[in-house]
This record gives sequence, C-alpha cells and structure tokens, in this order.
Amino acid sequence: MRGKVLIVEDSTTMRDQLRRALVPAGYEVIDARDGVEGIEMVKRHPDLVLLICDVNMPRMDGITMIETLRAEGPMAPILMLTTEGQPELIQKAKAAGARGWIIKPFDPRLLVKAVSSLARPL
Amino acid sequence: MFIPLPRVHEVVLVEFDQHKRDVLAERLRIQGFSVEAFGCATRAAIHTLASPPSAVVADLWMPGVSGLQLCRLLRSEAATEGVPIILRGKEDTPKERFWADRAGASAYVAKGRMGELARSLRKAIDAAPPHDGFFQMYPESLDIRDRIGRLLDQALFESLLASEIRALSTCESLTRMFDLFSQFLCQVTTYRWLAIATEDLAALHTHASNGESAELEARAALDLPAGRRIERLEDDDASALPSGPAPLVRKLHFGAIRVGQLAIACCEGAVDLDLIELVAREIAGPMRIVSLVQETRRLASHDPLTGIYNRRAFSEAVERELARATRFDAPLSMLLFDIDHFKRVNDHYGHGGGDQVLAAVGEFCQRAVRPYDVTARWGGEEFVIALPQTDSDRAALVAERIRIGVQDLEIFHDDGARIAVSVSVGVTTQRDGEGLAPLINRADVAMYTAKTSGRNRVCVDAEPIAALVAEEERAAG
Repeated sequence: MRGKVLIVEDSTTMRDQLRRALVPAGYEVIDARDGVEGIEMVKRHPDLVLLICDVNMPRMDGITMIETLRAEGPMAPILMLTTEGQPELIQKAKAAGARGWIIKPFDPRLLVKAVSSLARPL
Repeated sequence: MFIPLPRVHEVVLVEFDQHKRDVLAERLRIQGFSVEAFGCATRAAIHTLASPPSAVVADLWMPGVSGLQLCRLLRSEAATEGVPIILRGKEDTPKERFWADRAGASAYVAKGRMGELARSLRKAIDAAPPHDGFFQMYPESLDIRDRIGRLLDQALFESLLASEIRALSTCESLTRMFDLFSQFLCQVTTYRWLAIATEDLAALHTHASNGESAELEARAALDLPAGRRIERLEDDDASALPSGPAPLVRKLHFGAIRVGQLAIACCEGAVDLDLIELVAREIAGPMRIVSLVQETRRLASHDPLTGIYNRRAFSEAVERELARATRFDAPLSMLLFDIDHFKRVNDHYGHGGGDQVLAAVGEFCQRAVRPYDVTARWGGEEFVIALPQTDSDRAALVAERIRIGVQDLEIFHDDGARIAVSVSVGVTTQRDGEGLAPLINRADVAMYTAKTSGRNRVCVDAEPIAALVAEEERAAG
C-alpha cells in the first residue's frame, strides 16, 4: 500500500474515475462529498498522504475548505481537481497551500504521476 | 563523503524552425542544461505549466502563439509567474527589447549569440526565487489561446480604463472632474458612495436616499475634521443600499506629491481590488493637473493680496454683465472707491500696515455684496464693485453701507494700534447700452467729487458737480 488518499468531490462519476486510477496504483481511497464532510474526514484520518479536492461543491467550496484546514495547522499535500481555470482562483488556492491545479478531464496516467510525486511518504 | 552533484537546470526551448531548434537544443545541452524542445508555444505552455522548468527560452515572433504572448501567459499563471523567460529576437532593435521587457521577459537576447544566451540563462536562473513546485495540469483539449485571449482582453480593458481616466485631466475644475469620474466609474463597478478629498475640495457622490449616513461614513473614511465642508452631490447611479462592505480608502500620489485621498464604498459582491488600485493610480495625475490649472487660472484672475478679482478678470466679467443688462433692459450700477489718505497709512504703519488695510477692505467688500455682484481691486488702493440689476438709488444705499462698514472695520496693527480708515465712493449707473470704459470714467469723476468734497462720503452720478470741479480747476489752473 502507498497510503490513504482523500477525494473531496461532489460528482459520483468523478469519484469513481479517480478511484479507478488510484486504487490500481496502490493507494487506499476514501471520499467526501463537499467541503464540510471533507474537513471532518481530514480530522478523522490524520494519516492521509494526499488530499484531492474539487472547487465547486455544495455547502462549502474547495478553496474555503483548504483555507479553513490550513488555518488549523499542517496537513497532507493538496491537489485541486476542477473544471475551473480563473487565474484568481488558482492564485487563491496556491496561497492557501495547494500544490497543484489540475483541470478536468484528467489523464489518469499523468494524475497518478502527480499524486505519487506529491504524496507524503509513508 | 557526500558530494552534491551540481544541479542540472531544465530549460524549455521554443523555436518554430526544426533545424534551428535541434541545433540550439544541442548547444544548450553542451552548456550543461537539460533541454525540452517544442516547435509551438501552445504545447510548450502546457508542458511548462504542468512541470515548471528552471527557465524558458522562446522565439519572440512565431506563427500561432508568439513568444510575447507565451511570456505574458506564463507570467500571469500561478505555477510559472516566477520562472525566468528569455526571449530571442531576430532584429535586435530597441523596439523588440521594449516589447520583450513589457511582456515580462527576464532578458532579451538577439539570435545567434550563443554565449550571451547561456550567460543570460544562468544569470536569470540564479536570480529567480526557488520554485515552490506548484503546477497546473491542463487537458490536451484545453485551448491555451482562450487563456491568452482573455489575458489580452483584460490588458485592453485596463488600458482603456486608464486612458479614459487620464482624459479627465482636461476638466476645468476639480468638482467637474470628480463628477465625470463618478459617471465613468459607475459604468465599470457599482458603489454606494464615492468620495475624494484634496486640499481644496472634499466631495461626495451618494444616492439621495442615504446622504446623511454616507456623509458620516465618508468623513470617517477620509478622516475629515469636523469643521471641514464636504460637497454632497446626489447621484442616481449610486446604489441605494444603506450598507455594504467597509469602504476602501486609497492615498493618491503623483510622483512624490500627495494629491489627496479617494474613498469608495463598494456594494456587496462588487469589491474589485485590482480595479480600485488601477483607478486610484490613474486618477492622481489628472487630479494634480486639474488643480494646477485651476490654481494658475486663479492666480491669473485674482489679486493675490486681497483674494478678490483683479482688473482684467473684473473687466471680462463686467463686459458680460453689461451686455446682459442691455439685452434685458435691466439697470447695472457701479461703485468705484478709494481708501482715503492711504499714503498716510503706509507712511505711518509701513507697507505691512497698508497691505493689511487693503486685504481687510477687499475681504469686507466681498462679504458685503451679493454673490452675483462683481468685486475687484481696480489698482493701488482703488476698489470697484459692479451691481447687476441695481438702479442708482439702491446702488447709493449699497455704497453708503460699504462706506460705513469700512469706517467701522477693526484693523489692528502688529503694535496693537487700530488702523482707522475710510473710503470715498463714486456711484454711477449704465446708460443706453454703454460699455465699461465710460461707466468707469463717470464713476471715477463721482469718486473724485467725493474726495474733493471732504472724503469719507458717497457721490452719485456727479456730472453737474464734475462740471463744477472742472470749472474750479480751470480757474485754479
């Protein structure tokens, strides 16, 4: 096993796609459907090696979520995965500690490469 | 022992011509760089954003997306904003260098100068901050030209905005300029109120429905002292919302000179910081120019000692009033007066005392008449007042009021002594569409009569007396 990855994403299809890419590469995948659930999951799983996070979600968006998490202390590396591409949003995510911004649709091979280069070593 | 290997710098190379690209890539590899070469800027951009290299070397002009566009794009993206970019041009002209610089390139190197390119690369890489590893991965389907297009639109919008604001420098007054400025600003953003404060003017644009509260907010934001007047203008374009985010305040500088302050209360959800910064940066120059022009105009038309009109400005204003009086068949009267024994004041109290008297009399006259009457220093110790829509009888009353007022003025010299002064006033009224010169002449004769008949008095239309004086003079002469 290469560690636990949390996916915060409201689309079931997208969660399945991510799972299909990451599980064969050796990652354990857990998920949350919005920012509020995401924060709960992060607290419940201190052993995460990476967090993959959508931007537009109900209840709490991804950027607010990572800003909230960052204010609470150090945490696993964050990768944003979204259809959004506005430079201001990307800057905001970077400032909040995100390590990368991937625009959907993603290439599973490149995604796994990005995940393995960013994920915290076990 | 652990000897760190020298770090290999990865360079993304963009060159349209395949042969030249291969040659250049090879030469850079010989110089110790690791090179990823691309024939078009689009693919190079996607690669560079996804795994930011140590530096980018690109051709300035290329078919499709140019090196300049690539440079602007990489500068605007979070993943590549700090990556050194070297642009190569064929012509090596100042214009090419200028464009490369303005696009955000770290350096410009003319094509064919391999040594210079390698040196510039190392220098730029050494100077660049270490990259934080942030990357942006875009799908192949994403058209990078869309992002470049949006960037160009943004740049065009900003430059249009800047040029519109700069055009305000032709306004004749700060008040007018602020009015046009607010009209312009409401086209690009929404605000509850907008205020500026300079040394000469504090003004506020707000919706009629919340003028009072907006004034309180603006006063606090601009830190205006309680006594300072703020011109409040009702503005239909302002939002009628009673509250919103805290106002943004920006100090306005033109070079090293502080021009004033701008405060804007944006509406909820319409706080555009970049826009406000741009506007605050651009408006300072026009404000400085307009206030300088206003000041120059004031100096050209006002007497610096008394603060009232000088002879030239008076003549211009009164010629207009005379024409109007003739057209509407309305009476216009004129007072010309002179401070009695002014030479004695100067001799006794020095020129400082004389200046004090002139300033006090000028200031008093301005206060003593209606706003549309025209008051001026005619020259020396002579003052003149034009009274539109005033017949001879009423003009005589005004003249008498002024004579008594001057007599009662409490002017104190530095040594504490009161300087008592009086004036001799000549009064006349316009006849049959005549111009300024005959009117002044008649008023002058009346004033002369007042002088010769004992001073500190008013003489109205002294024609018969003037004739007498002339006879006396002839007899004396």
